[in-house]
Amino acid sequence: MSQKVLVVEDDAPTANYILKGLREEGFTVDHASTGRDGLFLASDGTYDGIILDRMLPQIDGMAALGALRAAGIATPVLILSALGSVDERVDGLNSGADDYLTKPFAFAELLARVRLLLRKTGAGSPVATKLVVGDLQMDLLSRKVTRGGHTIDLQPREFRLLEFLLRHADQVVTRTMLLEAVWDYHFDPGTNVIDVHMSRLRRKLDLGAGTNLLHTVRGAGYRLSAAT
Amino acid sequence: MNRRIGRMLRSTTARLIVPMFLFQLVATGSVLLFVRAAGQRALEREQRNLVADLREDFLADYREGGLVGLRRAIDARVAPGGGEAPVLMLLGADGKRLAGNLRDWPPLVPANSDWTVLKLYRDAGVAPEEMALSARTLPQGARLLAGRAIEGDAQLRQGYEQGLVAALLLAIPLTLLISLVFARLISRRAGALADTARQVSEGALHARAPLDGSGDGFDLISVQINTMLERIERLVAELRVLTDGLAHDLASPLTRLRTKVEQLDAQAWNPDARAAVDAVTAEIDKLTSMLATAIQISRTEAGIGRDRFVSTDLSELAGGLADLYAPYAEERGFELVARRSGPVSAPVDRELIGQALSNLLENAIAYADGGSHIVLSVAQDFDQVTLAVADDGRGIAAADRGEALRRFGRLDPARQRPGSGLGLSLVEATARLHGGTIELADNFPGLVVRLRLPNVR
Repeated sequence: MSQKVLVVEDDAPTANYILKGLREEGFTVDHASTGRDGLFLASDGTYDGIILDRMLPQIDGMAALGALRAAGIATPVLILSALGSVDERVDGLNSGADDYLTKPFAFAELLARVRLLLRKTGAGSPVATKLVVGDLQMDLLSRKVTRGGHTIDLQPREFRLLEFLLRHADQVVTRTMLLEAVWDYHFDPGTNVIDVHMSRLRRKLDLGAGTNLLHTVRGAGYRLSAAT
Repeated sequence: MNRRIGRMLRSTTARLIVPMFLFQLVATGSVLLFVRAAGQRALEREQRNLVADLREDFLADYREGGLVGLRRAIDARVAPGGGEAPVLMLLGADGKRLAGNLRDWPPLVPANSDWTVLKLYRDAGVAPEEMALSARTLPQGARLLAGRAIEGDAQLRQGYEQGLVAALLLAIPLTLLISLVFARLISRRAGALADTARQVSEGALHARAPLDGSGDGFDLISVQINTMLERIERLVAELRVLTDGLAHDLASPLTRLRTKVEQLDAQAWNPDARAAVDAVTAEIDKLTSMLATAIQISRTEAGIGRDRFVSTDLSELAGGLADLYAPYAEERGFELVARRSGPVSAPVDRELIGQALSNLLENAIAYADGGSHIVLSVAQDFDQVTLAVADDGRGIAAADRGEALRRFGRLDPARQRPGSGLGLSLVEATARLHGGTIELADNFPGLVVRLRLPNVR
C-alpha cells in the first residue's frame, strides 16, 4: 500500500509540480490550497506525512500546525516555506514541525526529506548492531568497517557520515541532509564542502573494489546502494 | 586617579552633593549667627538691668545713710574681694577715693552714664576684665561708679563658636546622608530607565520604562522613552512584515522558475542543454542564497532572534567547522586548523555564529591568495570571547577594510569571482546582534577577522 501524503500549498503551479512529482514516485497525494481545508483533511490523522506551506489563506500554516498538534495528531509535518531566516526555521521546528525546507527548493531535496520523514515514523527501527550494504559492513559495537573482508580505516567523522548513509541505504541523501545529520549545521555553507568529504569517503570505500557503492545523484545528492 | 576624581566630580550626584553641602553649611551658619546676635542682645539687656539695679541699690543706700552709709555699704560688698563681686568706686567731691575695688576712676567713663563697656583691672586683679559700668554724680559732688564684669558674653561667644563647629561637623554626615539617599533615589529611577534601554537593546522590544504616575521629571522622560519604544517596536514589526512579504513575493516566482527549470532538465538529453540548465539552476540558487542572506541581515540588524540565544560551546562549534572545511581548504591549497583550549560557552544563536564563521572561512579560502595556512581560533578572557579567522594571504589594506564590511561592497580582486558581497555584512550584523564587534586587522602577513562577543558568565 502506498504512503499517503497531504500537500497544503496555495500556489497552484508549485502545488501541481509537487503533486505530480510525488505521484510519479508512487505516493498517494491529496491537496489542500487553504489552511482551513488542510487542517480539515489532516484532522482525521490518516496521512503518513504532511507538506505544509506557512503563508496560507484563511488559516496560517503555523496556526494549522498548532491546532493539529493540540488535537493530538502526530502526523509528521515538513514545512515548505519562503520564510527561511534562522529564527523562522527555529520557530517552525519548535512549534511541532519535523522538518523545514525553504523555498525555492529542489524537488529531489523535497523528495529525499519526505522519504526520511516517513521512514522516521515507520514502526520504530529495530536497534541494529550491524549495518550492511552489498559487501560493505559496519559493526556499530566494535566500530569496524569492512568491505569484502578488508578493513577500512575511517576518521570519526567519516564513520558518522558512512553510518548515516548506511542507515538510509538506497535512498537519496542530499548535501543539506548530511550537513544537518552529521554536523548538526542548519546553515548554508555556500560552497559544496560536503562533496570533498564524500569524494574522500568514496575513495576509501570504492577504490580497488569491483563495484561502486557510493553514487552521486545528479542535481540531488548521494545514494549508497549495491544496485547501480 | 586624578581622572577618576574628575569624573566623579562631574557626575550628577557630585553636582548635587557639593552645592547641597554648601547650602546646608550656609543655612546652619546663618541660623547660628542670628541666634547668637539675638542672644547677645538679650544678654546685654539683662546686664544693663543688673548694672542699673546695682547702681540704684547704692543710690538708695546714699539716700538713707548719706555718704557714710554708702561707703559702708560699698565696703561690705567688696570686702571678700574679686570673684563675682561687682566693680564699685566712690570718689569724694575732692576726687579722692573713698571706697571701692578699682584703683582709679576710668577716664573714659563720663560722670553720669548708664552703660559703658571697658576693660579694666580690679584692685587685686591679675588680668583685665570686660566690665559694664554706670556712673552717677551725687548731690555733694561725690561720684559713684557701679558695674559688673561681663565675662559671660565672652563665654557666650565661645559657646556659639563651638556651636558653629559642631553644626559644621554635624552638617557633613547629615549632608552626606541626605545626598546618599537622594542619589540612591535618583540612581534607582535612572537605573530603571537604563534597565529598560538595556532590555530593548538586547532584543526585548516589548520592554517599557516603569511609570509611577507622579508626573515628575523622571516620569516625563519615561513617558517619552515609552513612546519612542512603541515606535521602534512598530517599525521592527513593519520591517518583519516587509521582509516576510519580500521573501514570499520573490520566493514564489523563484520557486516557479526553479520548478520549470527542473522540468526542463528532465527533458534535456542534449549535453549542451543540460549544461545550460545546470548553469541556470546554479544562478537561481545563487540568487536565492543572496535573497536569503539579505533578509537574514535585515532581521539580524533588527535584533530579531536575540531572545533565542542558547548556551553553546563555541570551541566545539569551531572544531566542527574546521573539520567540515578542512578537506575543502586542503584541495584549495590551505592547511586549516582550529586553535582552541577547552570549552568556551556563551549564550549565542548557534546557527548565526556558525554561518558567520563559515562565511569567514569561505572568504579566507577564496581570497587569501598566496597563503597556505588558515587558523580558526577561539579565545576567552574575562570579559569577552574572541572568534578569529586568520590567514597568511595578501590581506586587505587598512584603507579598504571599511569597504570590505559594506553591504554588497566588494573589493577589486573579489569582483571577478563569485560571491555576493554580503558575507561580511552578515558577520557584522551577527556580531552586533550579540552585542559584539567585528574587526579586520593585519595578520603580518595576511588578514585576521576577529569576532568579539561579550563574555557572559
